[in-house]
Amino acid sequence: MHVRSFPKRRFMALAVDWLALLYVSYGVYYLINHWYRELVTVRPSYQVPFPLYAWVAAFVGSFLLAVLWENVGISLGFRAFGLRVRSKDAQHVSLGRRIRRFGLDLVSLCGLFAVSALAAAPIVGLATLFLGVRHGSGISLFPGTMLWPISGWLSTLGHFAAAAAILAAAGGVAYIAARAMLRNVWMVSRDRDNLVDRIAKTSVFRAADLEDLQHPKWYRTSSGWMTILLIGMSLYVGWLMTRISIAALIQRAGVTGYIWKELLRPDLSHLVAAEPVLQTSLLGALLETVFMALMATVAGVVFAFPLSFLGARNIMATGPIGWTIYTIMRGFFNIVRSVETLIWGIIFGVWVGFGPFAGMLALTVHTIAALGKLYSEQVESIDPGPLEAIAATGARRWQVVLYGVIPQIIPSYLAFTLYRWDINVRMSTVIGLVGAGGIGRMLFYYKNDGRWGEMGTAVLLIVAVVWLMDYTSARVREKIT
Amino acid sequence: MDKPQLQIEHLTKVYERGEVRALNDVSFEVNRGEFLILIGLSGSGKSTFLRCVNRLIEPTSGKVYLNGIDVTGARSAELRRIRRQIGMVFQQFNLVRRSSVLTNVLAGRLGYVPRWRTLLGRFPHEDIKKAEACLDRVGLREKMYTRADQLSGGQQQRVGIARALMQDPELLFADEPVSALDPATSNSILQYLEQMNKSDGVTVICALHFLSLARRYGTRIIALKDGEIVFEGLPNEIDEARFKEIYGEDAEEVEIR
Amino acid sequence: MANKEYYADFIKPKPRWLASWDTVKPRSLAFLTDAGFAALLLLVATYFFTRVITGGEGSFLVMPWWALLVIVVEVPVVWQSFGISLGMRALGLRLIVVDPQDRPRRTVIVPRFLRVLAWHISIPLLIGIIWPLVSRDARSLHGRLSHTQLVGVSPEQVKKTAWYRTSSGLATVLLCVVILAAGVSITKINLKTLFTEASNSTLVWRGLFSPEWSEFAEGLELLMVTIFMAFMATLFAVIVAAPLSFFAARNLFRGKLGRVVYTFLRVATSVIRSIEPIVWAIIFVVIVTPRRAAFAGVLALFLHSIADLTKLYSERLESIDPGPVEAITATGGSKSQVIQYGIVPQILTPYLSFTLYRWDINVRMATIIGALGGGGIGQMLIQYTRLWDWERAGMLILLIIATVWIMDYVSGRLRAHLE
Ligand SMILES: Nc1ncnc2c1ncn2[C@@H]1O[C@H](COP(=O)(O)OP(=O)(O)O)[C@@H](O)[C@H]1O
Ligand SMILES: [Mg+2]
Repeated sequence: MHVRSFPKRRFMALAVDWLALLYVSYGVYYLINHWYRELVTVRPSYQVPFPLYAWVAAFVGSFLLAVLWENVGISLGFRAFGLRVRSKDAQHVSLGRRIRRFGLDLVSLCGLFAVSALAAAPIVGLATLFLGVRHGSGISLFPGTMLWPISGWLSTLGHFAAAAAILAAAGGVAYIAARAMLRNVWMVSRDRDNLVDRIAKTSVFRAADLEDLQHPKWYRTSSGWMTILLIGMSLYVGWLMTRISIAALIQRAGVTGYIWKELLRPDLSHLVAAEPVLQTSLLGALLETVFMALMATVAGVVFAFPLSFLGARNIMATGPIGWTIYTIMRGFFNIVRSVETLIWGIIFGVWVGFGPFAGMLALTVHTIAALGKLYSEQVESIDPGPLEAIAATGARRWQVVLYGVIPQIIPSYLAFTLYRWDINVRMSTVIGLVGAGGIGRMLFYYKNDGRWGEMGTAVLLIVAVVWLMDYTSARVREKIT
Repeated sequence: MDKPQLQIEHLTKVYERGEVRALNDVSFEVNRGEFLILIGLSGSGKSTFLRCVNRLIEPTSGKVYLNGIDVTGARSAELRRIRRQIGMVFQQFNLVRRSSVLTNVLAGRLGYVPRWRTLLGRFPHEDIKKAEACLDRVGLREKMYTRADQLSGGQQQRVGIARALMQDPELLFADEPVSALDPATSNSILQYLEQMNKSDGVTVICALHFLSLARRYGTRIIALKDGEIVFEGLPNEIDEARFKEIYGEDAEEVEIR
Repeated sequence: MANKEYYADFIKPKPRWLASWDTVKPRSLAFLTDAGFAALLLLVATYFFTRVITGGEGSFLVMPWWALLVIVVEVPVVWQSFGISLGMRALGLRLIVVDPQDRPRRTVIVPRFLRVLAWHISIPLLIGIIWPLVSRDARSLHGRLSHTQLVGVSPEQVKKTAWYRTSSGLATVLLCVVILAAGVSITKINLKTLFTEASNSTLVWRGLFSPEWSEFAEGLELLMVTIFMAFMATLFAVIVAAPLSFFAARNLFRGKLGRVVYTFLRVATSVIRSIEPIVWAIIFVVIVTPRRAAFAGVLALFLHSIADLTKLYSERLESIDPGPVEAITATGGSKSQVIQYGIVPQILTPYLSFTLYRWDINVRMATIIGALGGGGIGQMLIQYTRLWDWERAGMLILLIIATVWIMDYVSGRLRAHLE
């Protein structure tokens, strides 16, 4: 029963509670804004902004409330991470003692903040002095150009380098200070309880370790009500913010009923014959779309296959160089993956000119990242037994990969590739919407022209192709796994 | 005690899909308070028989009477009333693995509690008390709020027994309740069944694999082979010849204590 | 046990033509595979060469359609008679010589010629098509006439030959080469522009790396709209999809009506799923007017999520453990009680996990759905790119990356925790 004080869990619980309450205050502000200004537009920034002190109040207030909540009741975070405040011998604690513990918590937290702020302040201060604060019209956080007469790319790099250095230094100092406080001030006692719990004669227990744990219904708990509040508020704010209006939907449905009718009565005149303005037929555009997906998948696999080994921890993380490459690869995969294909489509459209090549490049880049990640995870989960056996015969590293790793990963690589091919076909149908070629371009053109019948044809073709690809790839994947 | 509790008449089951006649014209009677053991090779139709009686599987033909009421002709509401009088314990325990032990045990009351209460999950207070008592009986009271999949096999089967106890059954079906368990645990599980049989007066029909266990706990034994009754009698009547007849020439008797 | 007469009253024998179909089917499929292969190769090759020769649009058909048809039909016939075709390999078929007198044969070339000949007589006369279905041993007429037969072989019996020494291996390579060549031409791949035109994109990269920070606050607000779009769509979709999934699961509702509902739901969901939400948004924005662009986005994501979640959910339902369902039925529970106490606890966590996954996808999609009028951050982004204002666009892109990253991480962690 002496496993107490769970710093990580407690920290996470506090973060959850704080975020929850912060979110509530955001919702309240939004609603106040909505009710009293009646100024919700598509661009919410047109609303009269709240004064800075209101935001500060929200940040600090919600933090204090979270701490209070964790002390006097069982907060959301405590419930989620399975923690309870009890006395040293695991008995329930009276309200008076809980409030006293809240006071102690406040003092200790203030101390923690003060120390880390004090430690970080000189660095931040010096840095701002050194680099200047204002730059041009907007506030630039780290305007290196003020001091360094470098322009263009280098200045950009300078910004980032300076920002990274300052943040790293300040963060590092704050982190070390906080760690020291946790080590030396909070957990001095032999029972590894922090100072607050020591003085308040309480302790934080893991719910799983308690024998007399109660299981009240959700409507008897504060966290249950909080959850309801969070969901209800999200629904209401979301409803207002996204301007949902059933009435509009119903009224306009009548007005726009002809669109559906047109969509469902496809116009086949440009199925094979070329459309005069765009100079391609629907089937030609469809072919372009499918080939965009095909070429992107092939090119993606060609690059992702070797890169996936560089992004696999069990192969690379054997020395500092390997580890660096591994980290870079993983970072690359993650960043590139989180830029949507459509955005890549825009970038490559500017780069090589809008058209199917740009679309194919966008899909390729995204495919490399997505497949690279999937592949390298697969490499990481292989059975290490055969590798050991092959390494034991005195084989080189690449020989181990060739004879120990590749035979193990081929089936799942194939499955992932087919899956990606499937996604690429889907994506290639819409990538034309931003100017890359294919049927998406025709779709967008018809829509702008209000030619719903032809747009209906395009949609039907898309459905047919996606369906066909989906079906075949599912069948083939079934076969190989 | 004069009329038999359960009457089986010409019960037959043919699985259409596999074209298998799993039960073929089975007839016998069970009296109140018996501990009847069904033995037979796997595939001999034991599970099919038990499920045909409470109609988890629809029999192809034949009749089943429980206390003189026609089970095979019962409509849905009546069928559910009959089912709640018959507790059932399974080889694979059949607990809802993600639910707590308490919820699993309370499921035994579903046939009794009004619909709206079960819809809201609000079981009557006395049912919860009863669940605690049942869990106490199988020695699992502390595990009430544990998730069912965190228990060992033997503990899970005890939860299964507690669930059956909740039904206040007059008849208990056990379909190879110990086949997934080790010998020591098997004995303790069967002792719980025996206790139900002796002190609560519940009639037990238990499908078993092992003859030694059957001899030890049963008051009567029925042996099935290819869906037909090949032996019916007292436990000590099964000798070497009978054994070979039921289990085939190559079988050897294994002792389990 | 296996006493056939004994079960006679319970078992209906299969009709002859159905029994024959079981052996005719792989042969037909092999034929179709080879014909499809020939057609694909021919079409793509002509398209590619006409494109190269004319330098403009290609065309698929340079010969009369009947000539194409003849070639497409002849390829499988000849290939299957004289070699091991692609379709034969895929379906595990081999051609053997069946000698009625069981004499040892020196040469097998004659029956192969005979087979081609017999095929050309029997199939156009339509007897050859009906024959195997009605004949007792399901052999084809041309096979019977030429004493040859296509028979199935088990994978163990297949002789291993290096792929470059088999006709089907070489044919596959040829097809791949032709398709890739056509692909290069169709997608207008021009690697040179990637380098010569690189200066075009410096503007974009510079914008991405030195974003306009004054756009940060507004970007955050737009991001909130985007996230709420995803939230509303996911929540409402769950409310609709969770009950629907019970009707789209094959194992729960049996019977004629159940079958009809199941088929309808499966077809409807897969049609809706195959149209990207961004296309749905285009349609919805016309209906609810661009003033409510975010609403159009919500509707698009909502519709797509319903279809996707219904599919995921019902597949999970189809793989539940039947044990607890049986146990609860045995206690005398009604159908609704069985669902509530036997099925729902089993699917609750997987459903939650799928929902989180979908919520993650919805946030991703919501960030770009605005690009074509769906509201939220994407709408602003596309405006800035149109205005060539890459500093502001860069800020928004960075925000999107951060959001997608955080969502990905959080939902991944939560899902790992659920399992
Ligand atoms: N759902 C089913 N479909 C077709 N055949 C079945 C099915 N269930 C059981 N059988 C067959 O019925 C026979 C009896 O099975 P069962 O009652 O499970 O035997 P036991 O419980 O004694 O092992 C076996 O031959 C089995 O293969
Ligand atoms: Mg069985």
